[in-house]
Amino acid sequence: MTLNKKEIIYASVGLFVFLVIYASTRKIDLVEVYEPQQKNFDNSKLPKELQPPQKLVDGEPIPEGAKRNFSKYSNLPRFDKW
Amino acid sequence: MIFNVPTRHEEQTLLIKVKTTSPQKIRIKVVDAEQPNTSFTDRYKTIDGESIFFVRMPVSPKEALVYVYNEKNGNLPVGQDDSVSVESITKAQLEKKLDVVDLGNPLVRSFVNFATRFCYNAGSLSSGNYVSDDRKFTIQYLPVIKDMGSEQTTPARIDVDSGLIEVSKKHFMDYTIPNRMAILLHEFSHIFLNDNIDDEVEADLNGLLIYLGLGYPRIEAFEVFAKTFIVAPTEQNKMRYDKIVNFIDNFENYNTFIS
Repeated sequence: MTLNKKEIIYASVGLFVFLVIYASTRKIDLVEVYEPQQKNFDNSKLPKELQPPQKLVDGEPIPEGAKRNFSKYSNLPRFDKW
Repeated sequence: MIFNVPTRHEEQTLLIKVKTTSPQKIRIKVVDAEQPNTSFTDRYKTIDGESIFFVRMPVSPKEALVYVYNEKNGNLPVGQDDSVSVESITKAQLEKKLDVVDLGNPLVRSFVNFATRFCYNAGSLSSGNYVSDDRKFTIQYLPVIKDMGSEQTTPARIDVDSGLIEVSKKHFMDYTIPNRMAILLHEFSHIFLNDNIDDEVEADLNGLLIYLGLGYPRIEAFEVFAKTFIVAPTEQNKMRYDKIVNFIDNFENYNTFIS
């Protein structure tokens, strides 16, 4: 069976869409556990975006924080401006 | 029943399909398998037949433990409770509305990053002062919040002059991660988003806008505000809760207008 160019494109797009949908919803094998497996936790093994924030040393002064922006042109998200 | 689910720190929605033989109050909890006091949801629903719990997780652990049980009978292993069964657990994409969350704004981006990392780890952090990477925000993690020696019922508060956020460890240990995020985004909003710094409703809604836009679960937002207001059941808090319910219900439809 030979396919012309249009049919190849349609088949490729259809396959791509199918793979996207398939990949986005995955059924998980149900693995029951009987006792929580909480081990000695080391948060240094967390990915960078989930690692704890820096803790100030006792006695270290608290940094001067960000200031409120009074500009009416500020584009901060607001519940009544989106 | 407890199931181990490899969530791999990916953002996702867990679809937990549960079946009951008659109307039953079913409890669902999703917790970190390794880090203590780190919970992603703790909710219940009365189910008669089949139902799906949608657990939105903008952040997730490497491995999660999913608890599913009938509240009446307690947590029993598979096969020991005929009143409830788990049909499937499926991972799906997380829906977010990032067009309403201006992460291009450096203050919002910085605070969301800081709050996420603090909330994720609050179950195992010791009391003390924590700062964001750019040192623009500081959280003072206290055993409890006190005013002149008297313990306060609020889980968090912000100093309007310095921007310093005080957080009660006693409250945060019992909260889920989404609960914690909703509280911190409320405090952030007072100073950095509100027109009126003192307006609690404005802070509720501005904070919720970011919270919901990031994909955090609605039920946890309802829950944390209900938990906070129930210990202070004033008319103002009742009005706040009604506005929050209205806002969350309409968020999906972009129909939000608060007068």
